[in-house]
Amino acid sequence: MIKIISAGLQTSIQDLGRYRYRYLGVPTSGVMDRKSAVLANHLLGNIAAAPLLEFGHQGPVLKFLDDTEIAITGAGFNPSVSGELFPLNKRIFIEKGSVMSFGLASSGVWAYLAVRGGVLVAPVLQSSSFHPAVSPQLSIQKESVLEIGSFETKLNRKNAVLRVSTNYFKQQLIEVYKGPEFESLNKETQKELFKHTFTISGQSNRMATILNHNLKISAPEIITSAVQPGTVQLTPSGKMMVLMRDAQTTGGYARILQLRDEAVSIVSQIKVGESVALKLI
Amino acid sequence: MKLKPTIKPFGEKALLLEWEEVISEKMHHHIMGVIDLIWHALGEEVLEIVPAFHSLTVFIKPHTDVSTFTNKIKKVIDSKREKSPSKKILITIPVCYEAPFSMDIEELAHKKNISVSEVIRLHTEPIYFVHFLGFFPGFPYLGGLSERLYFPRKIEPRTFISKGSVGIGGNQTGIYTTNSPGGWNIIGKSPLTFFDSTKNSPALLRAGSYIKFEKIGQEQFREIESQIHLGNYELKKEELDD
Repeated sequence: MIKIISAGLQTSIQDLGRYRYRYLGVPTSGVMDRKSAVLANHLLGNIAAAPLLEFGHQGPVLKFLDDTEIAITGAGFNPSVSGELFPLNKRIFIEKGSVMSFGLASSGVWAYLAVRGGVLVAPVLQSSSFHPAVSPQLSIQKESVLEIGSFETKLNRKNAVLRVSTNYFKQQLIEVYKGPEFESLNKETQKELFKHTFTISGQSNRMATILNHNLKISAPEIITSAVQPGTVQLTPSGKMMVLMRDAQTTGGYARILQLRDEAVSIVSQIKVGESVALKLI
Repeated sequence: MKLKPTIKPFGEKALLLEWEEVISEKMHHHIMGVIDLIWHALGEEVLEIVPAFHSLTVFIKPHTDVSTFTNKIKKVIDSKREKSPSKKILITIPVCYEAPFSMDIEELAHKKNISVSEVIRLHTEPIYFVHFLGFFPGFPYLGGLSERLYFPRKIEPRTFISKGSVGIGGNQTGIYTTNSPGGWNIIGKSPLTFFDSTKNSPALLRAGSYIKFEKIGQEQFREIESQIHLGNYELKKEELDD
């Protein structure tokens, strides 16, 4: 078991998402950066979808109540126990009684802590992903105790440590498809989108990443229709945003572009104030 | 009504089917019929389908190829179908239009130059149609608001609106089914639970439901609230004739 001494900011239990309930208005949720989360589980021999801990900006403080095998991936935090630093992207052994803290991230935004066997919670609508309106019972607070599951694991030497390029967090060219309303934008706006860079706004969260710009672009509202993680919306006032994992299921703004799932992971790791450019696939 | 949708890819694993820009019950029933058809013929390859006013979005499974699937779906929607109309169910939603639940009703009445009781009358009179659920968990997109109650959203959205609150924004009325920030003008509150993820059927309303708002007082509000808490509240449901 792992006890939460301090929850940090934006710490939650996630898995690969909650599907088949979008027709009821239930967002998919799930890990922001799929690639890093899957890697953490892979290092431990867990199934890719094993629930794990996601945190951003400021990490939690955790006390391990048992000897535990874990792996930490994603943003460049500095996990340490009593001053001793532990590496990222590696299977590590943590002794019973250890108190781990994470410092600040030198790169990226979201980090993942997977435990061998997975974090064990009672799933809500078939998923262990926390969402404030859908699965409030999965929220993590100070003093929460996380149970560890017994998901089947297949450990082997080969996946004990993996070399991971942190360039992933510095990628500035985001590949996109045309969205359903792309062709209804005027030609000038269509061109502008790919000629300039956009800056990640501080208002970004698990629902959406706001892309700041000073372009004269806008799009009329549409009759409300489905949206999904990776949908780029443009409003009549020119606000542009990429919908992220906790996005609403439908919306009334023009869906001008669509990111691939991989690009949603990439965008989630770009820090506030950094910029991105868009490129059509 | 033109019955042939345009089909557009929506990313690598979804297809958007769009009909002409009409919002009607007829459109809704047509879309729901097509959804049945897709599940029936191609269900193995489909992850989920999200209906909206004049569109549906099919999310396909990871191993399904989008262009092959597009060809299949074209054939499917061309095939003949007979969907027997399902029963029309009318659900009564009790709403308390009194303070402290109705923060904006007086301003709305004042600006519309009608009395508060006229606002309530106009709001409880129609039978509303649930076109689909979306935006947030269990939230119904309703058709049927009286034009006399159309009222623009607030310029500054509130950061917190409690679940059950009933509001008007533009030409729509609706219920905040979960706690959320929001920009609608709040005219009342229902004691019902509209979304509960611990239930097998988490959303109280469904696409295709009919609803009616019924005015209740504070005392009745508390009573229903406690009945819901104890699990012995009986939802008022009746069958509608065509």
